Formats: sequence, C-alpha cells, structure tokens
Amino acid sequence: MMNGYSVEGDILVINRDLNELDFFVRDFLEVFKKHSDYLIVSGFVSISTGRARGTEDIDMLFPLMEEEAFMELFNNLLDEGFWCYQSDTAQGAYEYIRALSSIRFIKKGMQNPNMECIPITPERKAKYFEFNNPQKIRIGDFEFKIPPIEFEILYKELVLGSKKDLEDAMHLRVLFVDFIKGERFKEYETVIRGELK
Amino acid sequence: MKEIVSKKKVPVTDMDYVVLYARNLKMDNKHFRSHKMLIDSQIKSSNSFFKNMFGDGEEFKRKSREYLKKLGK
Repeated sequence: MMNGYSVEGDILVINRDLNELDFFVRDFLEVFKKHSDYLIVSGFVSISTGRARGTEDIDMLFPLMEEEAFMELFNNLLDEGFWCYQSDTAQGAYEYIRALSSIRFIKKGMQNPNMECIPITPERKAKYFEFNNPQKIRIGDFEFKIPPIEFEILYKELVLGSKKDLEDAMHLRVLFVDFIKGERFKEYETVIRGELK
Repeated sequence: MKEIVSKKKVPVTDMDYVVLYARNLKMDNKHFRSHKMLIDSQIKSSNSFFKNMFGDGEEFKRKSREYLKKLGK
C-alpha cells in the first residue's frame, strides 16, 4: 500500500497517474512557461491532489506582460493548438490583459476545460505574495507550481468561502495534515486579510 | 485537525465525506483510481454537454463567446 503523497526535498509528489485534466494543463504550461512565470491556483490545486469534483476552468496567475512579449506568447499558443475566448488576435486579447482582466484559452476541437489566465501586479498584495512563494508539486512527470498549501487553505476559507471552497480547504487540511505548518497560517492570514481591507 | 478526522465514524454530511475520502487517500493511493475515472468521465461528459449546447468548431467558438459575454466574462 502506497500513501497518497510523499515529499521529495521541497516537492510534493502526488502518487497517482495523470488524467485528462492534467494533460490539458500540462500541454498548456509547456507553451506558457517558455514566455512567462505562472502559478496554478484555486480548484485545480484541490483536484490535482485528489479532491473528487469536476471543474470547467483552471485558474492561473501570471505577472502583467508588455504587449510585445504577450504577442509572442499568444501566437505560440495559437500555433500549438489553443484558441482564446476573448479574441482571435493578440492585440484584441491584450486589451483585456492591459485592463487586468483575465483571458481564457481552450484546446482546438475540445469544448472543455479552459485555462483562465489572470494577470497580476504587485498592487495585488496577496496574489503577488503567493506568486512569489510557490510550492512545487509533481504528478508522474508533470511538475508545476501552486501556492503554499496553508495559503490556499486560508484563501478558500477567508476569501472565497462557498461550500465548494470550504470543502476544497478541508480536503487540503486533512490530506496534508502532516505536511502543513501551523505557524504559517498566522503569517499568511495577515497577508490575506491585508488584501481584504 | 487530527481530532476532527478521527472522531466521526459514520459520515453524514458532504463535508464528512470529504474528510473521510481525504483521510483514506492520504493512507492509500488506490483511491486515485476512482478519482481518475471521475475526472476523465467529467471531461468527456462536459465536452458532450457543451457540444450539444454550442455546437462544434467555429460554431462553438462563436456561440460560446456570445454566452461568455452575456455572463460578463
């Protein structure tokens, strides 16, 4: 019998096979991370660690980019078989990014799921904090970055707060009871409550 | 937390089941088999649902964009 997860250095290793949702996220990130840093947040953090629920979108933070860099990213994603809900052109999509609105990408030939890309700036203190303090996680050969588990739990409990979010938070609390560090909750709560003011 | 996990024997609420499942998953990764089946099945059924709702290819693109705009997304 093998545990659901193990820890290798600073990497959380989830002991399971990849599923179709993982393949979608992995394919997207393979392109995206050539152009920008990123952080996967919210539902996919819980689902990738075993929470048994579906999702239509995967949320991802990335730092606000210059238009030229964004155009390269956008066109690369198109070349690799993704399209954007908001626009068929990089210029059109960048209008959303410039306004700090999220944009969504989906794989050609599929109707679901989509990747919601959320631009952030240092003014979004809580989001910038989690972005700059990532937790590495690995499933099979797919490694990616998520927020610290304690931060994700608190964000779901204090900010989001729906039934689904509270269940996600509880899933993380129970599954990672031996991994999470109690003292981090106090530090992270200050950061999160700071953004709520 | 350890107390919350171990005290309840019979799950009643949705949250009880979340706790029970996470506790079992922590100890035994065989539970990921049903997790994979659920996720793969949800993607398949969702694709089918949205295909029925918005069609395929360019038609899907156009109709889903209109739908998202209505939702303000």
